[in-house]
Amino acid sequence: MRRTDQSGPRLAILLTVALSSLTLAGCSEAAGAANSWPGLSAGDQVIYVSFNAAVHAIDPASGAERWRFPAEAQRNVTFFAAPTPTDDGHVIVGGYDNKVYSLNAEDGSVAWTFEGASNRIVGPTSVAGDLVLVPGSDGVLYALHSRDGTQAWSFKAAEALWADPLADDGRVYVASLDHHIYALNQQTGAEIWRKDLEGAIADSPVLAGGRLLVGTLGKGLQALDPASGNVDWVFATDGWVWGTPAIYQELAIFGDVNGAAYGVSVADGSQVWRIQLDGALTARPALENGLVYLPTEAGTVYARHAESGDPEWQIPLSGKLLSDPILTGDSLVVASLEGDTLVTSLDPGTGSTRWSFQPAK
Amino acid sequence: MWDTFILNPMINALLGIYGVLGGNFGLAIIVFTAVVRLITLPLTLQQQRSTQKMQELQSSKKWLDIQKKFKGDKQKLQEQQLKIYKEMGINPLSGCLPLLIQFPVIIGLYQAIIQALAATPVQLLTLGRHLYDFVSATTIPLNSRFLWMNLGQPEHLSFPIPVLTILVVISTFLQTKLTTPPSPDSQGSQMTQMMTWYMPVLLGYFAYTYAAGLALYFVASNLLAVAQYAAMGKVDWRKVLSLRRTA
Repeated sequence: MRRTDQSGPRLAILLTVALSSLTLAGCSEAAGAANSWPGLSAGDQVIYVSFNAAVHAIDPASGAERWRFPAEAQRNVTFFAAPTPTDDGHVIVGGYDNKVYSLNAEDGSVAWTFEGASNRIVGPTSVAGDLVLVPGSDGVLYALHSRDGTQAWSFKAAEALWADPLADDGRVYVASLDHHIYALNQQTGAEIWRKDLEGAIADSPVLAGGRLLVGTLGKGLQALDPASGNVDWVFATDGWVWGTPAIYQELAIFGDVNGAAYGVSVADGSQVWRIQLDGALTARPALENGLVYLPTEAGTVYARHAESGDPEWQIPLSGKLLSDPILTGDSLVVASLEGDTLVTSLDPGTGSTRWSFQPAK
Repeated sequence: MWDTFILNPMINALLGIYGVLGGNFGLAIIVFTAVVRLITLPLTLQQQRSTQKMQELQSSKKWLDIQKKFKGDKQKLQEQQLKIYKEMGINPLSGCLPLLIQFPVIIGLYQAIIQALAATPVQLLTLGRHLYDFVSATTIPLNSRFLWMNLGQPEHLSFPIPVLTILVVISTFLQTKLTTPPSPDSQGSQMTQMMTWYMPVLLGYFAYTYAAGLALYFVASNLLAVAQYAAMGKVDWRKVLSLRRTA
């Protein structure tokens, strides 16, 4: 057999095989990473957190896990949307498996499931009377009967819905990544008006001072007339406004992904205060007793006076704090992405840690 | 460094093309692939020239003579081979350099497509950090629909045939078969044959598992590579019909 030196082409082939295998390994690893941040909410004497393979119900006093759903991790079943507690003892949550689950708040057992969505559920559901409103990444808002999960009506937007719909006075306001906010009839889903805000909307609107306030990705915070959808004022920001504003008296308090936090007059959109924090703000701030709590992607929780933005305390935690914080009982609860612990309960007066929760594997 | 010099320019170029093409991300991927192929054409040509030069050398009488003469003395054989390389001004590894340079480009392209589609909150937040100031907020999110596909998700069909995966496997097989140069020895030939099957299976797995936008890139890249070789008159279509090496 004739042997010749083929080191050039042969090495090229080996390199191709090795590098393509490495690429495959890299992509597989990336696929295993979390797609979103944890979803946090509070029910009657219980804290819920959705993250990756499970929804956890946690005791707010001790941080002990009461139950998790599903009890064992299932392939392709993951949760990131904040669970929504209902008045009739259930908690409703959508998953990345395109399903909506109604769970018994007592033990996490399944009351009903809705399997009509054609894409993942990223945003939290809302409860409006006897309807459960489900924002789908397929661009469809599903209105389900809360008793059994059957569909009452649906509404189709052009792009994904990641924000929990806002129900008020017989109307549903739903924001979409398609740059529009829609006002719908709560009973029928019929469109009343739509408004193009020229930027994607990732979180839900809020009603304050007779205006509908909406944060946009690239077009600041906008105030609309809820009756007509006409824009009253626009407050330009340096970065994308991801999270819903918190309302303190006449102020809308919110942050942008460049790390700036703003206090803006609801009446005319003028800036009252602005502070620069250490990382992106994607969460809706929590408010209590004149203090506003702002968690950042850099992992710091800031407590600031809502009126002025002046500092009260700040504390560094581990991981990225991108989820909406909640105030329940006498605790401030935050959830962390890629942190040492998933959930941390803090004293809202001082920022000291009361307990932490990390799911058992 | 990676983001600054590879990923960010690619993502923004992709979004720029998307804007020019009126918001069709499928077309943007195809055009972007063609642009990247054009930019890396000098490297491709250099790689081909280098491979051809090596093949000519290895078929020469001088080369074959030293193989025969120093058959039992590996060290001496290598010394003689290096001497010939030096005399003829050939670097045996020069064919690998263009490949090494192209790999970051290819991997960057994969990442740019996936990140631009931003199908989840973490991806969208990350995408925002890669955008240059001149990219309009109205571009986001991209329209991920193209033909029957949602480019941000693995291919889902109403009938159980993964069309895009099949297209990736066939086009990768064609591309590997038609553009891999013949190897004059049996070991090299075995390796070439292994590649002919390994690459379609590997990329087919990618196409089936990951976002359809990636699979579209594979198909476009494979077909453009074949077209490029055909335009240079280097494609031997008879190779497709036979798995055996054609010299």
